[in-house]
Amino acid sequence: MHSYTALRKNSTPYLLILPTVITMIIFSVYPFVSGILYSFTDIKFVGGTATWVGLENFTRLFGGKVNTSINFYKAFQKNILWTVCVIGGQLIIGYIAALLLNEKLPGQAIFRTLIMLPWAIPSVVMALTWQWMYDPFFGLINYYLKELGFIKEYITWVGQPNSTIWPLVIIGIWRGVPFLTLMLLSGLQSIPDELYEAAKVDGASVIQRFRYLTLPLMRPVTMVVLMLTTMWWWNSFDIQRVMTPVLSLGYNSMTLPILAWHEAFQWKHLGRGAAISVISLVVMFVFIIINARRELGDVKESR
Amino acid sequence: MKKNFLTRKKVLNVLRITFCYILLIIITVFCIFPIAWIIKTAFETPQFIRNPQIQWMPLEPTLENFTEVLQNPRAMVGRSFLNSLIVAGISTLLSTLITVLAAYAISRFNFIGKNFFAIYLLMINMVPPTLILISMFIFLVKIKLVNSHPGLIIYYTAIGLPLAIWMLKSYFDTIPIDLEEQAMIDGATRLQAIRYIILPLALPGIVSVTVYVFMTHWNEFMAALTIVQKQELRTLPVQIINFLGFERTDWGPMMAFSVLISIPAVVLFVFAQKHLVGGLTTGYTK
Repeated sequence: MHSYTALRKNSTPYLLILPTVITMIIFSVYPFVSGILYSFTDIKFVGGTATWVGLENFTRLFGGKVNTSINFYKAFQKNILWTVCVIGGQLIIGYIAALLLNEKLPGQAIFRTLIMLPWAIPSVVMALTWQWMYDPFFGLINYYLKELGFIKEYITWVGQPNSTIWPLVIIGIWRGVPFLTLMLLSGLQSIPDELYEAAKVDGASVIQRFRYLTLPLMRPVTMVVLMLTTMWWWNSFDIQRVMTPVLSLGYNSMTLPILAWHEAFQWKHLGRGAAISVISLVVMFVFIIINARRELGDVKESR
Repeated sequence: MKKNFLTRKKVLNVLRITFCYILLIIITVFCIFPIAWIIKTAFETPQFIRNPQIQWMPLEPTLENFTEVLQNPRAMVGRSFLNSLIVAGISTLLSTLITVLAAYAISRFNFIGKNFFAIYLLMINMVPPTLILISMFIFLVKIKLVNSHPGLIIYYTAIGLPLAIWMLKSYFDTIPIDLEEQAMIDGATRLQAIRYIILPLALPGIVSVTVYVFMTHWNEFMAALTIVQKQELRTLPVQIINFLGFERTDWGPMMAFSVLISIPAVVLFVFAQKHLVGGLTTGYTK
């Protein structure tokens, strides 16, 4: 905490945040509010005339046997599956990597740089690379799975209407491991060595030290990181968009952001696209509030 | 007996370190293998890419894929490279400028609405980009900036701000406030104190935030795909996906293109890695 009192209260801070506030009002608050309003209209793609239609966009999504509704439920389930699996995988691998890097073995700086590297690669490029590795004719994954006897015939892993989401989940995990490792490692490094020394002297085993020392101390960092990554991956778009062809509606691996984008920009139902995004936002909001009240409190206090 | 115990401990320690290294190598290989595969394919002679027998190294390393993609009029590498540079460059400059001011204010002043402002910056992460994009698209259509670089630039400038401010604010927090106070007691104005004391000290933080923002904008795909549809205005990530439509299974040129797109981001990352890692971690976990 700083000694704010030492600095006189005046108009300076307001002047300094003014550019941000103006930018945020025009390009974040206004789009956010108007986006919610658009979800209750049938706003036209060309011309932008909007008529208030009440809850029609929402009832169409929730009710009936219409294709829209079937797609929506499917995408909703896929989005939950996608987020849970991607975050779970990232967390497990990220934790193992961070714990190993924290051992301060010789050469750990090189390992750290290499593990971080995928993070710098544009998401589109890495989605393409994985598509090439999943290639049904000359792809490396088919080749090795067949060599090792896991599959008999080459499989078309992605881009088909009935393709599963699992190949995409692997890409998502791969993509997120660097960030998780980085965050968890910095958390681990902030735990004083003396605590471990003391526990060692008291005769605590490695597992006991992890269970009763590392895990509780890492809880705040882990929760903040989990909250952020959950928000990001719940809304992720690039991987799914690159791996499935343009008209991917009805595809098995479709998630909510993909459905919303296609409704809005491919099929030109901007209002319906907005409605899907609003539902997605509400679900995320409730989830975060339920799970992270305590952690949000921590964030508030630490500032 | 005691000697025995010691050797057992030593053996266990060696085993432990070996186990750690093996796990670390497995994770590292998982992380960098796809990147190695991009490079390998990019330098592979085209006929060997379609070789049913997989090779780990290019059989006959060649630049053929690069010349192919650079000369292909459909790829438009040069043009889209320039587009990306303009869009990401200008929006990064703008957001960094705005970010420095706001981050300094949040770090150094106590003002009414500060808590609300800070919480808003964190919570805005939750809003689906599709929602913002839909209304931004309608807005840009109204002010006739859709299908133009300025449209994309203002969108990028705005979406990058919350995280950038949050990161840089934490960096400013680590610089002792006494330094400015001392300078101001010695007769410097606040502006001078910022210019000569804070900015030099905060430079690593500002660099890391700038690199992070530039990487985000350089790599951004969804808005670029939606806002700019004109072929000669497309940025690199959109252009490569468009190129994929033509060259569906011709992976050599695709991977050469991928290498070309990735180079700026990777070079910046390696160059600023130390600052980037420090800046990000203090930004999120404090």
